Amino acid sequence: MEKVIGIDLGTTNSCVAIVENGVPTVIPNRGGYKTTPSMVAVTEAGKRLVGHIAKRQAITNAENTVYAAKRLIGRKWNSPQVKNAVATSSYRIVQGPHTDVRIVLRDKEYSVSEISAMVLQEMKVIAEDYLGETVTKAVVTVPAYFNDNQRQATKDAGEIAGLDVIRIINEPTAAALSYGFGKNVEKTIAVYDFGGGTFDISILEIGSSGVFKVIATAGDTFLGGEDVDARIIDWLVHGFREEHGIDLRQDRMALQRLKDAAEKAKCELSSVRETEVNLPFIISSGRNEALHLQRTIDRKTLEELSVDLIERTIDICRQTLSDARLEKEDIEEVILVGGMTRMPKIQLAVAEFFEREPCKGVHPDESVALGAGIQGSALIDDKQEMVLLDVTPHALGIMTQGGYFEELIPQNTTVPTHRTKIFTTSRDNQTAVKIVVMQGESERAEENELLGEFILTGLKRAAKGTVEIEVTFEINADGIVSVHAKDLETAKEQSIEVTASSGLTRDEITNMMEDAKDYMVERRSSEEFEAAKQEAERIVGEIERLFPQVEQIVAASDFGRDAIEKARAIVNKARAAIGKRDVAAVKAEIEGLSRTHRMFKGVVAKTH
Amino acid sequence: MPDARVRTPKPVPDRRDPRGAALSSTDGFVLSRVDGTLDEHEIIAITGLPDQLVRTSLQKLESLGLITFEAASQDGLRPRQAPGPAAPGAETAPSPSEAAGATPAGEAPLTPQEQALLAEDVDLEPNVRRHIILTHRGLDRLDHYALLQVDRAADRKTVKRAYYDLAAKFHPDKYFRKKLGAFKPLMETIFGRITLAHDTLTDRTRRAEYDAYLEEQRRSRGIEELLAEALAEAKRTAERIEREAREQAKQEAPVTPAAPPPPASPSGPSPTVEAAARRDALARRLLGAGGRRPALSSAPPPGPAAAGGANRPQARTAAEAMEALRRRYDERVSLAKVAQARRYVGIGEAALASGDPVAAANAFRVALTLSPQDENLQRQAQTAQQRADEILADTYARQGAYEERNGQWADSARSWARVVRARPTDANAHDRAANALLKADGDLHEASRLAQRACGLEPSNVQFRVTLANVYLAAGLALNCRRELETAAQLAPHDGTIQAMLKRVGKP
Repeated sequence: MEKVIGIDLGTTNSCVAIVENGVPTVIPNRGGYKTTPSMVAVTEAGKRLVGHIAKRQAITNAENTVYAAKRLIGRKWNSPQVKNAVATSSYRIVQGPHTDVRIVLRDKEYSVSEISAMVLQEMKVIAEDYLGETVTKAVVTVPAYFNDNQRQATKDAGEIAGLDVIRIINEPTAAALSYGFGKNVEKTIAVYDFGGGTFDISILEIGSSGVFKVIATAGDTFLGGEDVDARIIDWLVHGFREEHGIDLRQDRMALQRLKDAAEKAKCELSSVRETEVNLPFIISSGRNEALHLQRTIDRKTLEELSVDLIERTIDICRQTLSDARLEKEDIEEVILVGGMTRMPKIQLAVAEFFEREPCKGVHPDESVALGAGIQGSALIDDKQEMVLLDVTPHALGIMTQGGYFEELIPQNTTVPTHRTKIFTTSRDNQTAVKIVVMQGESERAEENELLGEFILTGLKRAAKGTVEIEVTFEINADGIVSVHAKDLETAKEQSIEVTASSGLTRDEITNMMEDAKDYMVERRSSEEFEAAKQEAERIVGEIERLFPQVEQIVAASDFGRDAIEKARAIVNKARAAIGKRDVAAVKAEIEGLSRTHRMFKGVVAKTH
Repeated sequence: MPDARVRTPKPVPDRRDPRGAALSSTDGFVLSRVDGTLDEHEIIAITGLPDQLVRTSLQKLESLGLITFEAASQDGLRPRQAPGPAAPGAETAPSPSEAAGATPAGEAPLTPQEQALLAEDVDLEPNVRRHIILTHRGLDRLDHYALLQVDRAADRKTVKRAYYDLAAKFHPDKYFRKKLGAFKPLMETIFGRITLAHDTLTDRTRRAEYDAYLEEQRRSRGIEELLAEALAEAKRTAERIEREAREQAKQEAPVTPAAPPPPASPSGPSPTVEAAARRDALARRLLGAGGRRPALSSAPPPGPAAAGGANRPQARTAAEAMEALRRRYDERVSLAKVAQARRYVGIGEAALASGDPVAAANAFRVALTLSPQDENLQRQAQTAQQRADEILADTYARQGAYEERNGQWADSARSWARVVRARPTDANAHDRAANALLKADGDLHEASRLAQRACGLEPSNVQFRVTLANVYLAAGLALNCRRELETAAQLAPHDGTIQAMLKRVGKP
């Protein structure tokens, strides 16, 4: 049976897991870390770097290092979130051809899905190296509050990375799966997921027969650890300006250093009461003199800086509980997920709100990937008894006359589901009607997310309001929305599968896939070459070490001299092949090198 | 009975889902009454609709292939034809409607359509396929409790457990990326229904509402079933009477060749004892559980006794003899029927006395089918029906309101129509009946009649005008619509909805 990996594609860090022999396991990367920074960089030489290595060079290559791309995925260029990111990011964000967003690295434009694909590809490689086989299927997680466009863009990223994303699941749901997996419990639980870029709260029931049912879910896709970092940066920038009258934001490199320092300070303050931010030579004063930033920040200051952010998460919890028509005492377990939940103040706020100590048994960084792995294995493996009943996080509907949003499927409806409603024409003799499919909670259509549109034509000419059109919305278990419109008079029917737009065309995705494949081929062949080169060089080294001894022993005979000539020729050929970076030639020489080496060793051994 | 051959409509066994057909709510209602045993007259009687309307509706249903009329029985052939193309070895299966009503879903044989589905090439075990087909078939018939297989008192946890067990079976993820073919939509429909059942039964408020609705429905449906049963019993009685009279006629026949008059005689050899027991049971049920046994003894025993053969006139010719025989036969039949009718009248009167006008109305109706010419009985039946309707009107009003809230417009239209029948001066009921019909995509003529009546009863009610306007609009009568809206606008000059509608309708 084919293996399915689970990938937690995080804002700041990503993690990959798999179920092996019934045990969910996180797969460490080559450096031995269980999470990998979701960072991508392109070096001056045009080399792509992903993960820890990208993070390490971020300060010196700030403009060409992308972090937190997840905050941009599936968003429109003109959205406030993108505007905000343009203003605060050290890398360049530009408008793409379809009002989407592109990121510029070394003069080349990349779509956000492409950047995320690079991270996914890295996670795929980590899994492949660990498993020793090719992996093509994955379950990828997204914040519960992601809309369909963001989900689609994430799916596209998977496709570009050469992964068949068999299912997108919500992060808090995944955490709940890893909490409940293999436990025979019937419980109502709340998952509070405060990550690097997003906040989610989900309420689930773990029931008999291995069923996990999501009751309600909500969140904020632009509220996360990054915002706390931003508060610390503001605080540092503000203090620096007070002291030196210089705005550190003007300097992208300084900003990147500030960002690193803020994140580090935030993390440290989860375990210590105070820490020092020390950034020597952060900026030039303009009088040929460098200025240093040095400040002490304590836990209390951090808590004051982020108190409103924490309060926002609690408000969302309160709302979700009421959407679920539950009381606090109905919640039998609270699970904390996401790096931010290490912050003592947050743990306290959650415990206070739910009047219950949060569960300690779930790893805040790994449980989401584990849950994704569990869902992957449950879908593929017939023997797995687990079934996940998920809900639609946003209401679905269409735009009606006057720019209003008419809801067809309410928020938190268990999928698969379908609903039907009848609409009428709004103009006399109207023969075509445009069905605009939207997602969101606002009454005003423009404030909701546009998912797609299509036109139903050939309506009977009649007075306005007399032609009736039946619109049916359907969401299947894969979360794919399809919409059918039917003219009740003529029974003429039209339907679309709303492939929410990631902002990329099919051709673009295909091209990006090809690029990613080429990159992989190149990377794999360069890895192969490196391995062959190392092997060849190792043997050459051994041979050369033995040369003097062997020469001494066999130089007397013609046969011996001949053998030494041959050995030199083989070594030279191998070197030439290495010089030409010809992996096949190098591999071909390894055989001869090994034989020579064995012969040399034999000669030396015999004499001794 | 020389001319009007009474026909018995039968549901087509593997008919397509009638929801796709362009049926009015009347058609839907009539269709729901067709069970293969009730004949045209009885359907007219139990629906309480005008004869012509029911006939037209039945014709339409036949033309749409949703029902068939039993082949007229001639030459004493068995009325039910052998199933045509079926394998000779096939058991004489009861028609699906009968079986589904009498036995749990699992027992009923598969229709040809379902058989075809079962044979589809999909990645599902045969028993799983069968399970899906049978569960899907039961969806329309089962209430939320029956669907989840929990009892009415089940607590939240029990409901949840039952739901989870079923969800684990029917969620499409259970067969992720497997070939499911036509089973996928079935599974999704089942999943949707069990989820609705779960969502309703685990929410205190929604469950209470649903329980109340179910209770109302159970009461009214029980009454309908009782009536149908009573009518069927009356029919069986009539048939038995005819058969017995014929038997006797045969014995008395003076000459051999002439066959006795030929009215159809279906009903198998039911021993009289059994029939009597059934009658008694029915009578008890008609009187309600607490009722006393009705004074059956007052009714003269049915059968040949009444028409004893004492004064047999001398037959001069074979034809005359034949004619006399026929007369005697008819006499016997009608006397026996009257006797039976009187028995039901007795039951009805007893029911009235014990304060159960609903049971009384049913009994009178049965009596009326046996003795349709009795004017006194007609009056009696009508009065009882009126009183029964009044009592049931409350029930139907509550059902209608619940159905409105849940978007079951066809059901709601039917419920409000019952209310309207009992309360001819209730303007609100007329309005809501019209509105529900409109929303259900039902009979617009009926809707306009109802809406007009509502406006007639309360000419200054703005809401009623708007409903009527909407009905006109749906019927494509823009001028009428505009007129009503203008009247409404005069009554409520500042109502934004009316102004918006007027704008929508546009200038004449």
